[in-house]
Amino acid sequence: MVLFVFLFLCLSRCCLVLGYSSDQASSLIAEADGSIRTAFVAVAEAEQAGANVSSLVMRLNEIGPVLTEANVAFRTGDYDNASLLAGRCVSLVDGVASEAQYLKNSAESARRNQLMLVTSASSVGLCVLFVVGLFGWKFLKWRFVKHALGMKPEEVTEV
Amino acid sequence: MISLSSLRLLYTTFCVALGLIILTPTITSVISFSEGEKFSEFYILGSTNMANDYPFSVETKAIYYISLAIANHMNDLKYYKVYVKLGNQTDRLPNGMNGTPSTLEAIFEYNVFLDAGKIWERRIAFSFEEIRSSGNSCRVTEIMIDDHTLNVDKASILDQTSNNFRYQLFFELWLYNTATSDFLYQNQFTSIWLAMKTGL
Repeated sequence: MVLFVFLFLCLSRCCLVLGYSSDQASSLIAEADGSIRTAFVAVAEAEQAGANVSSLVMRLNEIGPVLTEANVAFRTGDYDNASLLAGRCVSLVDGVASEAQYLKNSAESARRNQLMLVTSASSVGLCVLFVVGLFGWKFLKWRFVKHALGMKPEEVTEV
Repeated sequence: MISLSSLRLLYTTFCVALGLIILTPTITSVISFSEGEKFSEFYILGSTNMANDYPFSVETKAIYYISLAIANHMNDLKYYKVYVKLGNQTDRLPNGMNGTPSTLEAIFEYNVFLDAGKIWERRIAFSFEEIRSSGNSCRVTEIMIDDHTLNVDKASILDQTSNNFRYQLFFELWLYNTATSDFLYQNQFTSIWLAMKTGL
């Protein structure tokens, strides 16, 4: 009896795992493809925001061949393997988009801070330049006038 | 001797130049400058990873090697797809004038995510596993690319002058367009001619 139940469970599990139709496999591959595209867009946006996405690109490049294998399996009519590989793609790509979003937010925040710092430093620099410039001009003018007066011929007094 | 007005002009110029230098980091942070021409390089190298020693005369079951490479000069991360197609001497190649890809079905594909300024290079091993020939025609039914056995059905007619069957293995470069959410053919393809020996 126990053996019968065990065999029944094994067979039902096999039936659940195997026996994907062409449509099911195709839809799973399309889902995997869509997930990869979404992840890529998120990573590309993070990169444009200035984030270091090299580790995410590496992960995407590990997923790419799995999608290729799923497509190859589908073309050869191995729908079970194609479905399993498509499922593997979805699980591998899981988290890439959210991580990319986090990196994008961090990069944007860092960029804003940097811009604020640079703008502040430039403003302070300009103020200092303005003040130093004014005093510098006064000093320069004083030196110029003094030098010009030094060149003036002395008055000759008659005895 | 320099006049006071000339000195004032000189001093003002110096201060303005210094002001611009101080503002440079802010200006470069806000304004983005031209990034130059954007393009992708796509090429095949021979078995020795040079632009020679390309496989030409091929036999059944023998393994041949080529290197496929993509260089990203698009200034940002790109998602490329390379479609591998097999044609005979009469199949139409991608149309360079119209920028349309070949209508042949892809037998294999590569999905490549490539950062700006990076090069993706892959050594590809391929072999013709099953060929059926009769008289002046031959039919490739199985090709192996990178350990993947692929079912194909490509016939070719005997080339009388060289006494072999001509096939063309070609690679099309497609790029994912985020605006249209689809892959677009880049009007870039590269190919090698293969002369099949069947022992006729």
